[in-house]
Amino acid sequence: MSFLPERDRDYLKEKGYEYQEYTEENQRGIILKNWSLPSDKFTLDKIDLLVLIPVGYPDNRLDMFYNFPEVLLKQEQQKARAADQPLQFNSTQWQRWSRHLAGDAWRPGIDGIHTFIQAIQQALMEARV
Amino acid sequence: MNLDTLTITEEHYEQLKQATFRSDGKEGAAFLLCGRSYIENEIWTEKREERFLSREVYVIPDDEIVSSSTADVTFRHETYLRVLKIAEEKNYAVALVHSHPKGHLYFSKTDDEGEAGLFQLAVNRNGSKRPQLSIIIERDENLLARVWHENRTRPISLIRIIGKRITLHYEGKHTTLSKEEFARQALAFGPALNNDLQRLKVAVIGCGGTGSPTAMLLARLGIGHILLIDDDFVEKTNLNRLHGSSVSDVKNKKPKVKVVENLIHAMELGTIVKTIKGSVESKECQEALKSVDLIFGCTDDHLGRMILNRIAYCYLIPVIDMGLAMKVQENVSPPVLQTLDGRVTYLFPNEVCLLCRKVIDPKKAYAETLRKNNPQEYAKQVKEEYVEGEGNPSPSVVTFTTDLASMAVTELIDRLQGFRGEHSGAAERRRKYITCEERRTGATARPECPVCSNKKYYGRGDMIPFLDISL
Repeated sequence: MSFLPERDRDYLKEKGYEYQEYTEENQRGIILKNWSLPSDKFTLDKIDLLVLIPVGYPDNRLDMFYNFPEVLLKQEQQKARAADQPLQFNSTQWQRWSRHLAGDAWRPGIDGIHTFIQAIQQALMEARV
Repeated sequence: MNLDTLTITEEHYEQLKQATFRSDGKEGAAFLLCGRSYIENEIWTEKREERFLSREVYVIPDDEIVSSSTADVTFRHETYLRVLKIAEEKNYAVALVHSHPKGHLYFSKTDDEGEAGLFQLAVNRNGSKRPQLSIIIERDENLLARVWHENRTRPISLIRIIGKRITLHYEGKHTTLSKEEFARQALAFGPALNNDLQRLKVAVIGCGGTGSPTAMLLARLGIGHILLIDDDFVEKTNLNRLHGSSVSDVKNKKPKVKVVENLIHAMELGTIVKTIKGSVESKECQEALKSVDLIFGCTDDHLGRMILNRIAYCYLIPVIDMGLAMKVQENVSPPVLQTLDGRVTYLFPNEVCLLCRKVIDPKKAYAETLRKNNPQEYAKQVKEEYVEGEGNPSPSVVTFTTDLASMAVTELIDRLQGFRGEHSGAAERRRKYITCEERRTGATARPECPVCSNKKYYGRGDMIPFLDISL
């Protein structure tokens, strides 16, 4: 049974995202497969992207995102700022991006995966050491 | 007793009356599309209940009515088939609504034959096993409804018309003698109110400072069925305001729901009480909450409020939510109270929800959720200062918590009985205990609010996931 709201399932389907829902003991998330990173910026072009879905989403906000495999900034050959903590999920070690939406930026119930994806893309574009 | 029930919003009821009571005195008809709430194991009887929730009125256009007289109305089959198609796409139940002259609140032979034929169309079309409903509105504003399923009918035992008022239609409302225990309130409000109260199934979420007096007052008032939900045990610092609690309860680690249950049983009024020691977001509570007619929110748990907030709109179950704000000035000793306000909010379609009113603090909700589900990650994030830790406990005093509960339960009486007349129907009231004033608080819904603004969830009933929220 899906834990992702109908609105989000419709959105992801419509946009053609390849994703799956995973439930663990105390966390749940969706993994978007073959996510394209900004070109020529990282040591890989495609990764799997994990977004943890908290209880109460979308009234409750999304926070941070994770990728597998690990990537470094191509030029500096280092991980980007605050993109270094590991997370165990689905028997895999993920690279955490500590990116948070500013203060009141999350509009309860209104925002969701569809708006968060843009925030992720922005964070990846702006990533630096 | 059959457990199929029907809830119609006042807005839809007005539309239906307009469509079915024609100005020329002849009979009119309309369809009501309904969302569905299916309960496998209804908490009161452990039987199945199917609840139908009004979602959309489909008026039969004049040019599709074949004939209409003062006794019956016929319309083209194509109209019905078109409505069926919409219903199938969205899994609605379809109700045929028509009017009867005054004094004819029963299904006639013409109704029986006409409906059997019509609903057979649905079955023939695609072997539909979907229940069909039929509703009569009598010119005296009484209603009767039944469900057709597999060529047989079942009466709908309760019809709720809800909006600014809560009006219940059921057999025996005006004829059952109300109990002597409640004679003094019949003198104030009439005997029918006592019958309504006996019939009602009410949930009290949170059995603490505001929840315990709420439950106590509901029981004394004669509410027939009370569901108590709270996850906590009694602690020493609860004793100054938790009705029914004693020092022994602290020593014996008694759950709050048990304290309140005992308090109610001690009255010996025959109240049926069910308790769940647990969190609102649990599966057990989800099913239980679908089985009630009304909910009192007496919790300051933000996630709990998010759920109640959505239930009101999705399941057409009014939520009367309350909160007491008590704040002292910082760094002053002895303390000086700066804020002492009680709030009672009525949640239902066409009213502004708790998210838009900013009663729910999303940052606190997020922190609470994390603390509950992933305490390791919570501790980490508090340390990293991403998330606010739990603050100091708030001040709380029994005279205010009890007064607020009383204000909330009185709101229910007014919604049922209307004694306030033109002063009825405030969606939110705030009582200011320092200045002794009471105000009605206005609010505007956020235009994109999925819960209360665009009617998308109104009467939607069961969804995957429950309430379209991740739980």
